[in-house]
Amino acid sequence: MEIRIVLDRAEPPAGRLRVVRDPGQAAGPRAGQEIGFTGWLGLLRALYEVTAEPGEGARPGP
Amino acid sequence: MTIPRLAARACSLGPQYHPVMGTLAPVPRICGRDAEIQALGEALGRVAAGGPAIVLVEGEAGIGKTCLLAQALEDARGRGMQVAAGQAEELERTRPFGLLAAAFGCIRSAPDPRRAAIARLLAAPAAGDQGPITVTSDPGLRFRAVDAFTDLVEELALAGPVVIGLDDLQWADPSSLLTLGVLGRRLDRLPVGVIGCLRPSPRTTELDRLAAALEAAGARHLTLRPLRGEAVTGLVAQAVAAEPGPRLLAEVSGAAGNPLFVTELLGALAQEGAITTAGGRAEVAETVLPPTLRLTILRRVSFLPETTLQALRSASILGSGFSPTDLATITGRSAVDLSVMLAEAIRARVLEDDGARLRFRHELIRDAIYEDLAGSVRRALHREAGQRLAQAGAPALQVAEHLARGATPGDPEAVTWLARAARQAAPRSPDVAADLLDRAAGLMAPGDLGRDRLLAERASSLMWAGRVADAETACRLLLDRDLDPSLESAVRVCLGHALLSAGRARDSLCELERACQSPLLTGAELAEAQALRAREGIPRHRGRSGPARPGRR
Repeated sequence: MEIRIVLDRAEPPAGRLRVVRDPGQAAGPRAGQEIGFTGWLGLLRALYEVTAEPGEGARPGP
Repeated sequence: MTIPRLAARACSLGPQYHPVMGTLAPVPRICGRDAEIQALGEALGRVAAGGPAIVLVEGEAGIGKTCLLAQALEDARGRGMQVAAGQAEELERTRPFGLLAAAFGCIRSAPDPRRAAIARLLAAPAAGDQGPITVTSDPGLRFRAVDAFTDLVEELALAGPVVIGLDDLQWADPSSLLTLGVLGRRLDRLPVGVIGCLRPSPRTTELDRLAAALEAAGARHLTLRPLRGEAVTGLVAQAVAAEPGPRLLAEVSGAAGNPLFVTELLGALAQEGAITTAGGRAEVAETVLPPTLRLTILRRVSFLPETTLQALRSASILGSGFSPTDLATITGRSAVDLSVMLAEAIRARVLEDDGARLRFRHELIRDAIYEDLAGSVRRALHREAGQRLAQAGAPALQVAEHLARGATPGDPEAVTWLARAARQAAPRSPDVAADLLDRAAGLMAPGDLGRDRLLAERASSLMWAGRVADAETACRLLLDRDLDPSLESAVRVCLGHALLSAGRARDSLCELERACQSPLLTGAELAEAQALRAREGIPRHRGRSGPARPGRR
């Protein structure tokens, strides 16, 4: 899985990320989806979201 | 940790990644601090035997000062001693005597009349913003409060040994530090122990002065170093309840022996399900160099539900400790809603409930969340918090602190509240008043007459704080420029006072004579000038010709 992160600001980070579809592979459920984030917390949670299993929900939790 | 590395780490968790919100068990025993525990035990022994003992515990954030203090105070309680414990807060440095009032439970409703009396003494006057600080303020109030606290300690000590434990002295208000210094000098032959914890930085002049005073009174200074390897192993073993494997130990070695860093890192690994225990040995599959402590903390916190994180971000605006009521005020949410949102943070040991307030388990956890907000967002949140707290009738000092943190240059609302807070603080803590007035003036344009007025008040506060040289400098800076005549005479009186206090009577007289020539001098300022001249042995006279002028501006 390739994730591209575009930063508008470095510290704390702010920007957006999206999962890039690998050539020759079927598009995943979140391929092309862009998620905005602010702060390290936002970035971590955005990463969790795009790497989560389909159907397990966007967020880890209790 | 760089972003690509962080991304790689998140992705490496793989599709089977099912994080479970949970934490490691609290570590029941302090590791690697045997010598310090022994030193504190010896200090308590001296107090139990009827003598004084002062210990200063210094070390970087997260190094274990608070745990050590908590254990010492628990030990003191176990020995039947009276214990007063307090923790200074960064956002409450402007609250005069705030640290000691909290430590001794000095509230108006206190059942002990001595404590209730101190609370009344510390209660804000109705002065509000009704005029500048002059000699007609009550400079003696500060010292009455200092005496009240020291008298209270002496009376308590007559009934039995007393131990005062104060954490985060680097954030303590100047008046509390002044009181501790006085207390240190008066402890002789009293069964009173003082244990103070502080970081190497920030160090204010007042804190340096206190440390010197306490060391002159025989204080022992303990410096907490990073934990050694065997102590870290012991800490990890307790936390994971198993023998740590070599890869796990290699992972935590990046925490540089800082116990908070170690436990936060272990907590993050546990939440990611990265620690497996088999055959009594805990191990991680791979070794990844830990990122900074701040990112480690954020990594662990990131597993909390979004609503909880939102509440924590708002709470971080209020400081390390906060009341649910204040949080409800600044968020506009009900206390019931917030209790639901924060329950998970308490369960994850991000927050703790100390009975009166909620508190981030460590100030660094609050700082990590706070600093993860963009600067512009932080300012906006502080400003909104200040406005909402003002509407709710919160103390001026609290409102001013938030508005100042959220202010942009020229913000009249922040200036007004800072000046109001300064005037309330001045009689009890002129140092704090000077600081608040400095911040207010810093928000104003250089040519603003109101700014000069605040700087003149600041000079007076510096004088009453005993910072004579600073007061003289502040006065001269004002007089060196084209100062409004209505202010000039007041500044000259202040300068005369400063010069007299510095033993320069001739220079003082010159300034006071010039001040007394001004028809714009208020009655109070004239009275001060005449009193000062009288101290110099100069005959008392009005010192100027012309018709009598109104006594008040």
